[in-house]
Amino acid sequence: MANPDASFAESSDQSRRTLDELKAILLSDDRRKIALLEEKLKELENQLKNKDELLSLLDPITLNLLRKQMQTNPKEMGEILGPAIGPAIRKQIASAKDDIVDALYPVIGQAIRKAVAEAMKNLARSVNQKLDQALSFRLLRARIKAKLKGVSADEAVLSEVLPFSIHELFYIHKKSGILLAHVSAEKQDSAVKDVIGGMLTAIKNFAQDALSKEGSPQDLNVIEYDDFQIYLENGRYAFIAVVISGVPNDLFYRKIKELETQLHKRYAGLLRDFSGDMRRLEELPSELEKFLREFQRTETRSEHAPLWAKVAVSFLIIAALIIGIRYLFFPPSPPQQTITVNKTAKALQLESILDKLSDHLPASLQTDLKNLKLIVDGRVLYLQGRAANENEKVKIARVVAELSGFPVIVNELTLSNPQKTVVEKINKTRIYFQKESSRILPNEKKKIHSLIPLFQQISDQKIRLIGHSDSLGSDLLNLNISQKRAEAVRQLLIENGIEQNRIEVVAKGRKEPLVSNRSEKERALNRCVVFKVLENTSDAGTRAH
Amino acid sequence: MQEPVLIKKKVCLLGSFNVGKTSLVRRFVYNVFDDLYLSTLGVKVSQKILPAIEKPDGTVVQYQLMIWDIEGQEKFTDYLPGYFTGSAGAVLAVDLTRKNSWTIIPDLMQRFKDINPEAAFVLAANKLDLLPEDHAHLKEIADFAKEINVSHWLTSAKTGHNVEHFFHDLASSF
Ligand SMILES: Nc1nc2c(ncn2[C@@H]2O[C@H](COP(=O)(O)OP(=O)(O)OP(=O)(O)O)[C@@H](O)[C@H]2O)c(=O)[nH]1
Ligand SMILES: [Mg+2]
Repeated sequence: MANPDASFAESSDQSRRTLDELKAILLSDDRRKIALLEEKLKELENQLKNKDELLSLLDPITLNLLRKQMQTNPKEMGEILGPAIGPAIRKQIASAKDDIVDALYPVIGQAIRKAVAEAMKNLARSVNQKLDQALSFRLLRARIKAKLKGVSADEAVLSEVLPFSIHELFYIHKKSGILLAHVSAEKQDSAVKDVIGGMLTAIKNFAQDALSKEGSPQDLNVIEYDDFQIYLENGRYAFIAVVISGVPNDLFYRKIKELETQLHKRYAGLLRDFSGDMRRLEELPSELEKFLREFQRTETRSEHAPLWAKVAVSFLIIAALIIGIRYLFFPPSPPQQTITVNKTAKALQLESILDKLSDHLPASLQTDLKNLKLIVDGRVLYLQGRAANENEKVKIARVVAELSGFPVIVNELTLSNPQKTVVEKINKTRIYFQKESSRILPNEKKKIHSLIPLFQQISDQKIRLIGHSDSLGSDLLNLNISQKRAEAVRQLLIENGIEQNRIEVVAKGRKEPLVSNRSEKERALNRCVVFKVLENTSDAGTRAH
Repeated sequence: MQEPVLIKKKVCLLGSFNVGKTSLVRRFVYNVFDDLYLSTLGVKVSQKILPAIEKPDGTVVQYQLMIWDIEGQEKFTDYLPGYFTGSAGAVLAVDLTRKNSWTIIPDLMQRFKDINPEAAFVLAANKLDLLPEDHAHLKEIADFAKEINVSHWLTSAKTGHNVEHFFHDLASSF
């Protein structure tokens, strides 16, 4: 090592060089550190500029933070994050609609997919609606769960918002369409189940014939209607049709396949040359029942009371769909050359459909048919105008489907009475309580908050709050608690600016349970307050619901 | 009598358009009739359980008919074969007043037999109420039925004449 004193005695040039050398020796450690820091800083700067990189950097940290916060203070977290996440998801779903269609229906072929697109639109709409009601806390949880599990967030949210449940199970002989067995999650059995078995088979037959004309022979796997899907698991001699709602998980697909294999093993010999003799199939229902019970969840059941009505309607619509597919494959009009002639003929045809509409609809119809409009866009017929109510909206579309034979009909009728939907939404809301408690839980509070703007829209109508209870304990006790529950909701409404004199409170106690009280889950459903918007005439609330 | 054995059978209603297939089913299943003509689109499935009958071997059976009312086509080749599979029999329906509704029947029957070799058939010669008693078609339809070797019934969905009978006749030959 050089002696510093000696170095200083040299020329200035020499001395500077030496100084540098000295610095290098003395500060080498720090210099390296500084260089490293400089590098780090630049890196950070870049990361800050590059959004993606920043996110990947922050993700693990925020996730941990969120997790911790969720444990210590879930309520507040929900409140903070909920409002931001809701719209984001909504936007994603809106833009991902087509992706969802493709992802969910890879198997059913282009033609049917088109028709299903309309149903998807409704699905997205109902997701939106449910998001409105759903609690931000719950959504947040879904998001985080998704992160942890590595599922895409949309998927997780979909299944969170639309809880999956199985409503009906059919086992149907493939060749003849004869119903081999049927079980239902609903209490009442359907008188038309055999007919449904037949119609499902007809639809399958049709799709198969039609699709194999398209080139690749395909089996129909899903029929979509409203909130329901009919999922078909095809076997060699028979197929299983499952009426489901919500978004099924992998387990469902695996289990249903297993069930099919198991039934095939057991009954193939009998079904190969099936004579229609039902004697040897007596154990079938209990096997289906087992499957059904495995998947049963209580969450959604009470919401789907008029299931059979819905499924019955669905078959009419499916019938229209069949006609639709037919026309896709065997278009009724001659090819391109005669296009002008066609056009006027089509216009005439549309007019005559509108003329004929009233003949096919009940005289009691409230919708003014004169305001309806039909617009053709390719093979899609748009039905526009105002319908008096939801029921007539569907009816009219059905008749138009029948008369026009269009493959896809987009029902764009709006309800001329938007108040009605507001009322329906309010009447559907239920506020749930814990055992023997009349405290409004945070989640339930949110539901009430989301109703406030709706109440303001129908400011001339009164609201009845009906308190209910489960069946445990004495009549008097239950009457009291149901009264307290309704009062608590009333108090919250008043705090949120609803006029006192618009609110009526009724206590039912355990007298009119909404569902039976057999299980704890059902009892939980009965511990609630129900809203009823009253008509503003004197004979309030007599219309059947 | 012993507890009957439930046997479900699929039967198809075949024939030219407008001959009254849907009307026959509606009369048979719901006992109603309508003058309005709403052409069937695709298939309409209905069901009816027949009274229990005793088979020659002594067993008592009860048939539940799943009736596939298929839209009438102009040519037999226009039918989707998928609709025919797994049937125990078919009702061949014609309009007594409109002879050109008869011509499709032999080919249609053959096509159905190709898919269901064991199938039973009956011929329902419908709209009897529209013909005077001595009309030439009544004799001609009998000859026609003989030709194709199928038992025939003169029916009217409007009055209900013979409607029950030909369905029972069909079921008895399963
Ligand atoms: N007078 C009379 N009219 C009948 C009878 N049966 C059917 N009709 C009428 O004939 C028309 C056609 O009857 P449908 O039962 O719809 O005929 P379809 O064979 O089902 O016709 P597609 O479904 O188009 O194949 C309707 O206007 C019926 O009212 C009958 O026995 N007597
Ligand atoms: Mg018909």
